Amino acid sequence: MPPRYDAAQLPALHRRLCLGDRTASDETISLLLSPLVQNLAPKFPHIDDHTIRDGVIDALLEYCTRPNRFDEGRGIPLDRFLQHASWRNVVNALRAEARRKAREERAEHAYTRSAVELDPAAGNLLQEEVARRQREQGELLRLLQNPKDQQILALQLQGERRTDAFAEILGISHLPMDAQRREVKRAKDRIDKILRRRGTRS
Amino acid sequence: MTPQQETQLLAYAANRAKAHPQYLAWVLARYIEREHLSEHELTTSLGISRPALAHLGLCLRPRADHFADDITQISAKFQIDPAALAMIVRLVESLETFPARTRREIAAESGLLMAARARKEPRPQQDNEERPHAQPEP
Repeated sequence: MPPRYDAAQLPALHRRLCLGDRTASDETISLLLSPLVQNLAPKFPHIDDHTIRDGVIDALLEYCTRPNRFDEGRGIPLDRFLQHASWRNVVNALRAEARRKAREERAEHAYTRSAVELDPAAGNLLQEEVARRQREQGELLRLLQNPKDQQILALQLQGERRTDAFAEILGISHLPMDAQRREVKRAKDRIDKILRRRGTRS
Repeated sequence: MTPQQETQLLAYAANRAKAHPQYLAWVLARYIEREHLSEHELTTSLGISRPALAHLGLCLRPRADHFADDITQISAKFQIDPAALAMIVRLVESLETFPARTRREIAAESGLLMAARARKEPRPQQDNEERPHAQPEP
């Protein structure tokens, strides 16, 4: 700590506090607050000023109400004792903040999951969507006359992309792969053309 | 840190001391709240500056067994009227003696007494209600 004050004042102030002097707390805080904050701030470069100030102020307020917690006989200067108490307050505040954030995140995660799982509206919406899609697919399939075309379209609507699945419907699985791809593409293009002609696909 | 920043820091510390009942800041905050005063009005009535009020708040509260001595010491340091400071501290202490819970209990008890008094008065008779000792008409 840069000694911007007369360190010889500290033992006298401590004794006054121990004797119950009511104004010694103001003098102690006025003397040490600013140097303690300035000394502690570089140790927490990414922490906001308020957290550091609160840590120092709480250490000073606590010490002045219970000065006997500082034992002169242990050879540690009062300012270093208060510096350590301030540091501990800041660390405790940061830990508490981290715990609070973790609790909030857990609660938020649990809430989001339960909101989706438990909301009866979510289930209703899903059922409605499935029913709507089934209706649309049924209408498309009815536009096709050829049963093989209907099967190919049904597979397409299910998201199938493998050539051999379509080749099996067309009965061309015995052909070379190039030929299968060519025939499958031709069948899909034909279906597409039919549907467009009937105005259902853009 | 500039002198102005140091003054602000001390004011901030005094504000934080309002949460500690051992400090005069706590007492003064309760007094301001009770009397519906502003800090400016308090400094005017005590005859001290705003920065001096912060220093006063950082003083420890007078002890019950050294009340007069402590009031004298604090008043002398800030050159304020000891009687005014003593009155503030005593008023806040009286509020502590009757905490909010007790005040609520007193209010609740007075409410019960009022209800009991109200029930002693005769209840108004309703039209279709028979009188308890009414004689049947011949």
